Amino acid sequence: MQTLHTVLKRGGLVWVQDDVPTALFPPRLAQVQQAIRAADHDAWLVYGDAYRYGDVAYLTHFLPRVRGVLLLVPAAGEPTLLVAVGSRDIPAAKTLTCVEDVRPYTRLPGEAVSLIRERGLAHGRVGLVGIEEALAVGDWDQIRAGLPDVRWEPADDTLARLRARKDATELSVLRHAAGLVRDALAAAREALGPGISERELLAAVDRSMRRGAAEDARCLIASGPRAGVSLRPPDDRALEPGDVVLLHVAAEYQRYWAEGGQTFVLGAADADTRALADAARRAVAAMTAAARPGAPAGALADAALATLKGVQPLLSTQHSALSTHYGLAHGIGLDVEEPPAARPGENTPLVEGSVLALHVVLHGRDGRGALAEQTIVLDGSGARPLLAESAPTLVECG
Amino acid sequence: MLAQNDVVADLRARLGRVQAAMAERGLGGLLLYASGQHTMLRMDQIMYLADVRVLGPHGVLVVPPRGEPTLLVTPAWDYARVRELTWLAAVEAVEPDELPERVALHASDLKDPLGLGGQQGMPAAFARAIGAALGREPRDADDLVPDLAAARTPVELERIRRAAAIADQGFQALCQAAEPSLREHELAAEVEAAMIRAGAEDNFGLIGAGAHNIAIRAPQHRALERGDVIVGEITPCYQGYLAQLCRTFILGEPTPLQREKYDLLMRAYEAGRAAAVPGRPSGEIARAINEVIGAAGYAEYCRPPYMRTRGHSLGLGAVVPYDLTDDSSPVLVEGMTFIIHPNQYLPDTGYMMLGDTVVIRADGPESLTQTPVRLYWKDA
Repeated sequence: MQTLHTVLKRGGLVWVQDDVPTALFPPRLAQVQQAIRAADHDAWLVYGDAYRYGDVAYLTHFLPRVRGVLLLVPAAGEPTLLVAVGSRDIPAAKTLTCVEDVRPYTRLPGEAVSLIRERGLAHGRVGLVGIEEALAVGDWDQIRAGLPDVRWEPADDTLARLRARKDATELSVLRHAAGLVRDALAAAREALGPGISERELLAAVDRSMRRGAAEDARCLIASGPRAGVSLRPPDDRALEPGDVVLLHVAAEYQRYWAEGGQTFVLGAADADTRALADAARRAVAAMTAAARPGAPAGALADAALATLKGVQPLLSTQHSALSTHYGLAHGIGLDVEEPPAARPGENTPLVEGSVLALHVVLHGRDGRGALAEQTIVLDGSGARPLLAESAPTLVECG
Repeated sequence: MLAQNDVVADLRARLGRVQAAMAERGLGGLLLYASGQHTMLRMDQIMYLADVRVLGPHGVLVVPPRGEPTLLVTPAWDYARVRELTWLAAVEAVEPDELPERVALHASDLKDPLGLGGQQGMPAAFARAIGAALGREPRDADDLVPDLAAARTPVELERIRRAAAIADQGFQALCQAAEPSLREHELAAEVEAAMIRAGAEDNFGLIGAGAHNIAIRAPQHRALERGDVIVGEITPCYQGYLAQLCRTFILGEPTPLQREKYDLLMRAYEAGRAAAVPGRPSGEIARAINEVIGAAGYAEYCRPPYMRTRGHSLGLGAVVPYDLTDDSSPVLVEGMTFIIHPNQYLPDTGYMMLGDTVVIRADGPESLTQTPVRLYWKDA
């Protein structure tokens, strides 16, 4: 789910090789280089930034924290990574990646042009991954102008297909990240009470995730009257008795993201709030039941929306359509939102081994609302929760 | 604390200056772009005029030559927050793929040439989409707003002052929490939590530790040890505005050598402050600092790769005077805010940090961060 991005990824930044072994990367590189050759390309240029770093991290484990990084993957041989640090910081940067050839840049276009020329690719065919979608237009125009004889061709889809299927190591890291989210929600429950501000609640949630070695931590909230309107970053609003609090939390660990959320009530939930929470829970369950390899991603949205029809009268009139605007389900892994997005009519087939984040957000009348989330893994027979234990959708506090 | 009326008056005055500059350049309109990626490295031009940070991935402010701008943001579900936070009457929240057409619609009455600002952060695909939707090529006006934003307005300065106070609280939390066996990322988490409670909505925060640091870095999982030198670059954001504090904390009593070298940093800092007066080029600050450190025998450590800059602008991302280096030329004016930091690697002690956010006054710099300038330590 989209959150307010930060000026810096500032959590613990290391490569925990017990969790993500170096052996993971050579086969990935080999697969990509095979794809490069199959496409009759000479190399791929892969761009990532702090916002969308998944393609680069898949091949390097490197995590850009502010400015972008550019990876040149030749059809054969070793890749080169351009990172936005000074030369004194290159030894530290190398501890975060399997790539041997890590070079600093101050101005990306000039360094990129030099690198591509150095590799003898000034007249080559180069596939592009993440360039159009993420690289600043000025930088990209300068690179193209500096290499007028290169044939640039899109190559995003291949890497996205490789990334969709999570292996056992990735699932293990995703479970770790999901554990941070679970612990953060428990910390929220501990901290919740009348008088506490949304920001103070965030402090408890954020502290839990960062002490657990999250590289990044995000939070959205809707409390009191806002529970009937929309999620937003926490602010100074003080919680009051009877408030409904919708809390969405995301944590990144060793480059992998997990999301989660719960509905809290400061006191006893009324009948409408219970009905909304039950509907949200059932919608998530319906999506889980509909998720199987080969099914179109849109089938999840259809399943959720069919379940939610009965609760329509309880939704706030002006915001009734917004429950789907957050997205109902999407892939999750090295990027917090990966394909496919489960929108009605989306025909992309779900693949075995993929991980999907499901979230149903309902904004009701008079400050009521509910939020239910679940992360699932698709195996041969269907879907199972990423974590064995499931948290309750609705929690009454105090 | 400023009243909402004062905030709106301040924002209207900014808009007036921007529209006057548009007229001087002969622009028929101005499009300002901001992505969801907030950064200290470039100014958030939408925030400057609309007073709200875009969730993203894209936001565009359509500024007419006269009258109020229209703010278009993504995602659609963020409408209520944006509506509540901005003073502007015209707000639309749409899905990302709808945005180019909506921008084109709102810009359709604006005459050529149309200026474009904030494109440093605009992805290529979005640039092509908006170009196609507009059916005309906007003129580069990326410098228009930053050039007008060199000096802080009263509202901006109040927010930076609040951010600076939060930075002071963050450093207090560091001093209290630091202890042997606590891991670096756990220490960072305590600092972060203290600042969030104090009102921080973001932080460009780096905390590193070791017996001999090479540079400031992100926290790692390493456990703190007695004798560690902890360096902290603490940069909270309050209502969109950043302030920074740099200090050094030793887990144990400092050695005479550490005290001596930190005294050198403090002398360099004072020399830098003395050069920070209106009418003088910002490069004089860096040269004054380097002169003190160089005279002590460390001239080679005043250059890359050991040292990059002696400070930088702070507030709403990068604005004038940008980085403080020997050859930086912007002339200091009253109301500029930036950090002066003679942070330095020394072969004897490793990297140590010292720096405060200041605002330039007629008679020199006023510190906005209030943490006393000294070396910090506690018995471990």
